[in-house]
Amino acid sequence: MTDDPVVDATDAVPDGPGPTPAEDAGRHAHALLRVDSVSKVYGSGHTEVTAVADATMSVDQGEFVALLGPSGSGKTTLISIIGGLLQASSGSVHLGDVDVTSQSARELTRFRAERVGFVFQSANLVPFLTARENLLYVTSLIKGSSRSEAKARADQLLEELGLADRAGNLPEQLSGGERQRVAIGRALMNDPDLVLVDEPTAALDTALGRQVVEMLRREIKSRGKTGIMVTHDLRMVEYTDRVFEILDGELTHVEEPSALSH
Amino acid sequence: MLALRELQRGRGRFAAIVSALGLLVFLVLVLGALADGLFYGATGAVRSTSATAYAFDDEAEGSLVRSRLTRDDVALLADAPGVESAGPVGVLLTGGTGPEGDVSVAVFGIDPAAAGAPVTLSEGRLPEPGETGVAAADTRLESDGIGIGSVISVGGVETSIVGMVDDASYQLQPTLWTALDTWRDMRDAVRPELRGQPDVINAVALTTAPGADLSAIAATLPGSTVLTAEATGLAIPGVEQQASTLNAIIYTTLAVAGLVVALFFALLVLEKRELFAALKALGSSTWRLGSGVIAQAAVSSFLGVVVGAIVARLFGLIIPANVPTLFRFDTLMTIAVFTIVAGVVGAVFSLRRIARIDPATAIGGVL
Repeated sequence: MTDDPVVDATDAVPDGPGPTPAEDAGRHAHALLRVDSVSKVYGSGHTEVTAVADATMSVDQGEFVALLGPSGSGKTTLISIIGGLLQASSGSVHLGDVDVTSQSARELTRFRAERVGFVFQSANLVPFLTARENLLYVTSLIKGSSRSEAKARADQLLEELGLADRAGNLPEQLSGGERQRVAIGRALMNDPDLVLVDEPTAALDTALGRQVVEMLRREIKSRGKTGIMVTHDLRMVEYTDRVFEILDGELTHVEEPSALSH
Repeated sequence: MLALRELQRGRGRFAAIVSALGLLVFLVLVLGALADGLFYGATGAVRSTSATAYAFDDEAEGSLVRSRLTRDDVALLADAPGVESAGPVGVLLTGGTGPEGDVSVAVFGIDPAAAGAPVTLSEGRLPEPGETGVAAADTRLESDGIGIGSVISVGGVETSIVGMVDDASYQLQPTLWTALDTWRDMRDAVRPELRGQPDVINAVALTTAPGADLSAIAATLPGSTVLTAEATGLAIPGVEQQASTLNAIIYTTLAVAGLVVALFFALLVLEKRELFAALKALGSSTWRLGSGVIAQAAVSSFLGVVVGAIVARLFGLIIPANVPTLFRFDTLMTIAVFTIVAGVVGAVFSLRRIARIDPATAIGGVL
């Protein structure tokens, strides 16, 4: 494991044996997350840029999948649309019974707080809140949430993430890996249906990166959550169930992680 | 939770805005104390009496020293509609000799039993009606060694002090309150040209019934004007101009305080753009983030007021006694409210900036 070749998805992933995501979606008719013909176009006329073109994909509840593509492939745009951060130009996204693409800005704010957990590239913790308070903060965004339940849940998550003794530390007192673990805890705090993870290993070395992604998988799987991890790093896809490849804004294939093994 | 934790854990940076505001509040409070000191020092003699209005001759333009009426006018005005009491007022701005040397005084000749007698007696008593050779002195004369039992001589006419009155200065000069006859003796001694006019006084102090019509009162004495005590104070030369100049400086400084807060929080929001984008992505609303910033501005402004008030109060202790300053609680409250409002309004300008932060920028970024 330690002598992995450095594989970077800035080279197009060679055509694998997998089906196209649209074909694949047909086999997941009752998926939790259904992305249907989503496009995102910036600008108009001769300055028009298509960031995502006609993307269709389905992810079942309990799955942890990767969205693999090189820089500029549109994976960030796609995950932002799925997470209710960006309006699609056309197409629809459904998470369970919620039509994400038809929500108002105010509804999306609430939708993100209650139904989606985010793990950002650079943890992006609140610097003046302790690890535990960072977790509690997201629960305070939900009206009528119980403070004592939230505390118990935060302590349990921190325990599971191996951070029990770091709960009272500020982010600046934590290592990069610990910060990313706090971010995982924060993403799971509100018991979301969907966890979106953006290049979680960007700021970490390989060993720490593996540890964090492994932990991410364990936490998502053990809770029966659905997770999507955006990455350009082939080394990290072995922890996922399926891999959606994206190139130049188009979802090209769905692969088994083993098919991409090195 | 977020905003207050930030205040608590980022004390250093908030100390900067609290000190900046504290200095501005200090400046405003000292200016306010000066404004109040000048105003109260100039107008005490017409505010701290039982009179609610004063009658002047038409050409005096509300100036006590310039006005000329007679004792007969007092009786006439006493019978005017709405007048409960009328008393003579004689004013003499002059110098005298006290136990420690020369003093500047404004001598007020009054009828202690009628309108116009001081109501701020702090010690001793006022002269009895018709009692000559005694006076009540302004407490400001205490710094010249004058107290009850002291003798002050004006133009060779001696009076012994039987009482002390507070807040009774006139045009920043300390006052001496005597019965009209003593005042006239002093006037005749100091201003020989007025000898032989025993009935001439300056103005008539009036105690009026609530809602009394001042112009109807003036109509009973042709050639007279009646002003409220407050208007009489403002008609003292320079008082209104000083007040409006100092107030202009005070409100300009408060506007600057608002700008300082606006700039500080604009920078703070700029610095936290990335964090705010992430928090918005996590489901925090613009309003929630914005109200936190406003709460921080309110707390910072409040602390700035506390710091400024403490520093101003300490500064007040080292201001020389001859500089007229007066630290009033009312003024402090007004300035506190204005500062906090200016701070909050300043912070409101950050709301638009927060609203424009796009949560989608939280994803992507480095790669």
